[in-house]
Amino acid sequence: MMGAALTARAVAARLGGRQVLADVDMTLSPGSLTAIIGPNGAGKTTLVRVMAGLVRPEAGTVLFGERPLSALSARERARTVAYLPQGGTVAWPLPAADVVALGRVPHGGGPGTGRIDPAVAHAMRATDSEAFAGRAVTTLSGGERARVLLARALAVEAPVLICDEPVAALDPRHQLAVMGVLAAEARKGRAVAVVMHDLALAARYADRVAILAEGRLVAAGTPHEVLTPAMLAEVFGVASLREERPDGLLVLPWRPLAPEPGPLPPSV
Amino acid sequence: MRGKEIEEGATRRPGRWLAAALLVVLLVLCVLSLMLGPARLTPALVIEGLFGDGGGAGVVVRDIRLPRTLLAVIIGATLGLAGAALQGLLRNPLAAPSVFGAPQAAALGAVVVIYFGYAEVYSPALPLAAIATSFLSVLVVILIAGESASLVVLVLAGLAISSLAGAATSLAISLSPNAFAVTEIVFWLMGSLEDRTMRHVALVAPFALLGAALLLSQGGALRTLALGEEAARSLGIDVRLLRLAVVTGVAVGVGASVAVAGTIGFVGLVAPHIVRPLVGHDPRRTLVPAALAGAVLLTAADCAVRVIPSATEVKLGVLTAIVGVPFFLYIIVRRRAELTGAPA
Repeated sequence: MMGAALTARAVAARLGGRQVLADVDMTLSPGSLTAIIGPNGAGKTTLVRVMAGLVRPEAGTVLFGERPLSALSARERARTVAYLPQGGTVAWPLPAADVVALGRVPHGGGPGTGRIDPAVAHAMRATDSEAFAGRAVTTLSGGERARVLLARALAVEAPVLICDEPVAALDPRHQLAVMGVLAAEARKGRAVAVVMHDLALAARYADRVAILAEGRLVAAGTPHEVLTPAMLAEVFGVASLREERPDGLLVLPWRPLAPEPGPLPPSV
Repeated sequence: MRGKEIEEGATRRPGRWLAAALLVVLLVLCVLSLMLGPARLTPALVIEGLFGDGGGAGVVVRDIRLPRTLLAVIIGATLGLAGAALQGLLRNPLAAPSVFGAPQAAALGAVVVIYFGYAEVYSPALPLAAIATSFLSVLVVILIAGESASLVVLVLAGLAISSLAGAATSLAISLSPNAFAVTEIVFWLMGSLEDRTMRHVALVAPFALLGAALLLSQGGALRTLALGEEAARSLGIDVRLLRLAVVTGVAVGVGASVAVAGTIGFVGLVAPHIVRPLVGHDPRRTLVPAALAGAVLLTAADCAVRVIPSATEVKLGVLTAIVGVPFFLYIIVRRRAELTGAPA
């Protein structure tokens, strides 16, 4: 199964009567990390849910290799695309190792099979979460829990890995570490997609960047091609700094562009 | 060193010991239940009554106390299992058949059948009507709660359903032309295992088994659902099928139980809470121990109503509510932060 691309073709989706995606094409290639960025409400989460087979598109198809994702059984699809939802919580105080072991469910495994699945051990090592394997996941800090949940997604060992904002809850060190893990998974031959807001991390770690705005794909290409000050000004309304460094591209949003995008909503 | 920690986390399995301990307690309570009544019997007489060729003790044990004991075990286990499954489905420790108004709705179905004289008390129409109305009540609450299933919405929807069912039941009673039937219905509504026969056992057992089979088949899916609906679906779990199976399993078990025993609440709420910390909170491993704990609780309660001194026997449903409601309040107090809207 390793080695095929996950492709969205002319995908459209509607949520509660509102057009959320229109005519989006996207290819997640094996060996490549794609950052999906865009303003709030651009349709990023809907797009990755469609590509993970969790939302049926209104139009268009999603293909794994040559096969439509919708033709796969639920279990086959689960083994093909691993999906980490945004801001996940775990309902019960399960031990972290058991939560990670749930990633083996599509393979007929899971917690309590009596032996440690190598995929679980590997995923916990990769996310540096072994130290709290036996602790109840509800007692972990936000960052620790985010790593355990990422390990759960890694433990599926699917050829495609899609993560919705996996670094949002993490401190800088663990943001870098998690992006490093995802980049390493891509280098192993997986197709990895990451929804994110951090332009600097996208520039630093992504092989490809796709920008969504108002449900449409505005740009796709390498970080060098896409993360230009002109593009960021147009899509996000920000002025940005950009610097070519020997070890990578540095992109930083610097200040909002005039005119201001209106008054901020009252804080809650 | 670190590898060892992973192993500990994933392999600590106290559930089997707990199940064995609960079984022993249940057996002791069953013997006690066969001993207790207007005529107290010794364990020796109970055994002789069960396996000997009759005499006075044989009639008392086999015809009066054995059906009652079996019903306590079956119904208690059904309620405990239903509570554990609902709590797993809604990812919420406050879920239980009685919080959803399921017993009240089942009672309404049964009362309507009795009221209109559609059925003699032993006819399957009674449990079928009770199953249908409890199915409706659980389904409505789950649909109203939606995917996020916040505590407040669940409890309010359950309150609404149970009030509605209670009001409709009162209406049926107040319109009843037959004063004797009214007394009958009112006492039956309070929940009791008094004067039940083996025919009652035969009436509830197939439904209880069917419901249990449905709920137990969803153990793995309930555990995966701990990650949330999206993640569970991405792991290949059919969440809609899971929901349907749990709602049906709960309705079948609880509906049939109410049809033979009246409304007995809060066993389904309490039983999973007793075992959950002991089995590591895993929804799958909670199911069987919660069923055993439910059987233990109800058998113990049914022994207690025969021991509490009073002119007529204290109703079983009254006792479980008196014990269960404070427990319910205790859980609410412990989870007050969530209930007042603070992020979970």
